[in-house]
Amino acid sequence: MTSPHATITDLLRAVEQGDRGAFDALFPLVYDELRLLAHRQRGTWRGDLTLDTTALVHEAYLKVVDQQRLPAESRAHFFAVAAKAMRHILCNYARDRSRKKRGGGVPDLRLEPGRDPAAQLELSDEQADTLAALDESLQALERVAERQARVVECRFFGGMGIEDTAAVLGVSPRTVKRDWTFARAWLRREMEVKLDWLDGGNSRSPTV
Amino acid sequence: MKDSRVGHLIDLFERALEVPQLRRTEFLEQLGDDDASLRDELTSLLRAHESATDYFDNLAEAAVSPAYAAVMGAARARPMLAEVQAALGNTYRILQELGGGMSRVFLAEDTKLDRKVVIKVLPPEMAAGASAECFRREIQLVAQLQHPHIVPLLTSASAGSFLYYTMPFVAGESLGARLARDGPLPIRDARAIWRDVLDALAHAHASGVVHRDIKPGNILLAARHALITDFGIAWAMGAAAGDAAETAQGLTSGTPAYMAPEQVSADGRTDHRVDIYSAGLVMYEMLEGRLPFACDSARHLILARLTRTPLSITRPDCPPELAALVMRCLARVPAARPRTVDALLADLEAIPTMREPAATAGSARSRHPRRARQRLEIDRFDHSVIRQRG
Repeated sequence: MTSPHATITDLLRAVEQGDRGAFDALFPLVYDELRLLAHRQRGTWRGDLTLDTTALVHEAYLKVVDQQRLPAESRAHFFAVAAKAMRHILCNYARDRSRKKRGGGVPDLRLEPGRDPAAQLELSDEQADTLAALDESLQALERVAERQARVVECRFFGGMGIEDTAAVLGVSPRTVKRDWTFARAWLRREMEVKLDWLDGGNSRSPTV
Repeated sequence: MKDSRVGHLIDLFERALEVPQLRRTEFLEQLGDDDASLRDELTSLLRAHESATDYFDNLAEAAVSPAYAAVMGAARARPMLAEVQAALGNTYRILQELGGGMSRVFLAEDTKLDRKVVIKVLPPEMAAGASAECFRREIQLVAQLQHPHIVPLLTSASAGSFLYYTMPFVAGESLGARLARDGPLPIRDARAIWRDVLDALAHAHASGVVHRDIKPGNILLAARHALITDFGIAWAMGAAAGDAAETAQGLTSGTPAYMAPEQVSADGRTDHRVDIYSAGLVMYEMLEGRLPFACDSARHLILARLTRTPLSITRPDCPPELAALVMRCLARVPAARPRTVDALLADLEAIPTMREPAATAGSARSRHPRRARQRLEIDRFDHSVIRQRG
């Protein structure tokens, strides 16, 4: 079995040379790696989202990528992919929860082989709905303003600061700040509509 | 077409934000009625902007963070507890969960012998197939270790889909907990703890076992002694995690903050000297109350050991020979560290025990008044604290 590490390094190189397909191919690899790491790190959560996400992503990077072989730009690409992977890990988890709830019946909390047992609980329905709505809203934003959506991904799910996000996206910190402001306003509005609708479907009186 | 419309919207949004709040209505009115829907959209965006920052701060805290915690497993599955208990049968009765790192840790009662034990349970996917065999081999090696400063392994077995091992319960607290509470320790305590740790490491290394995850959380303080726990577990867990080549290269799991540079960079060659580095870091932290890298983030902390020279020990009551010895352990290149733990111990013991600082003005007491007040002698640990990990 070849180690996935060599592949990730090679793919990052390909991205470096402008291969857009390599970026997409990277995603599942980084995703798996992060999941594995998150799993191994169970219990080291300190309750600081930014710090924890950053530590996780960087640990993944250190473990996975042969630093000597890669230029600094590849780091940026790795972090971009990792931010996206984190988003999917969290949002898929939330959607899973939402779906189970809407499917009716009691959530299935038995252990399933190959599933992270700890990842099967303790998110309220409201939290799960909110995350699912955030993800959907982000998808909508991606369609109209891709870079702004990337900024949210990096900052929110990749735990990156303004400077790091700027480096990853290849824009100025000033642009990141502006994108961040616009994206939040846009998402805020979008989510208000979505969550209202969810809420209305369940509990709102028809007169409202 | 869509893109240019959104581009226009973004442009207007950013321009509107530069307009003072009071004049925004005016700004919107100036847009005219040519594109009423664009104006409406801008209006709703500006309204959303008012609360967006708070909303997202709150969102991070109230939704993203818990999801992350759940995925990371900080919140633990209650059903799993029942399942572990079911798998253990009548031999052990779980009393409480103690937290833990990669595995789950329980305080349990050994019902036959009527004594308390600590049970560490590995996640099911690590207990599967060939990796379980690897784990068992490593555990067998670790089980050979018998030393007064090493928490021994009692049993290792599989039950249901779990792999677990048991250790005696040590009443006391971890060095991590003590450091978090008291900050830097009195030189005498730090020396005594370090000596115990090194003594245990020397024995393990002589038996061919490298700890690989020496950190304050793995050092237990009980009565007058320090004991190392989780010996070889990082290695065994790495072996159990599957990739044999990876394990051979030393890419095993450890705790990033205390890992040696060669573990972090995974350059393929790690040996007993990773323990010397980590033990050096632990001693540094006992003396200075922090790690020797000034860093604003976890990432920099991990990377700093590869790129930066550790800050020197500034504490005035620390004998310079001791400071120098600790700094030697922190050499980036393993060859520049003390060659063996035995050699390190010999050097440590050659340093005079008592040396009062000439001046008291700059002593640890005055630098850390609050902490100095709280400091406890090593033989007065709080035995009511039940904690296996910091």
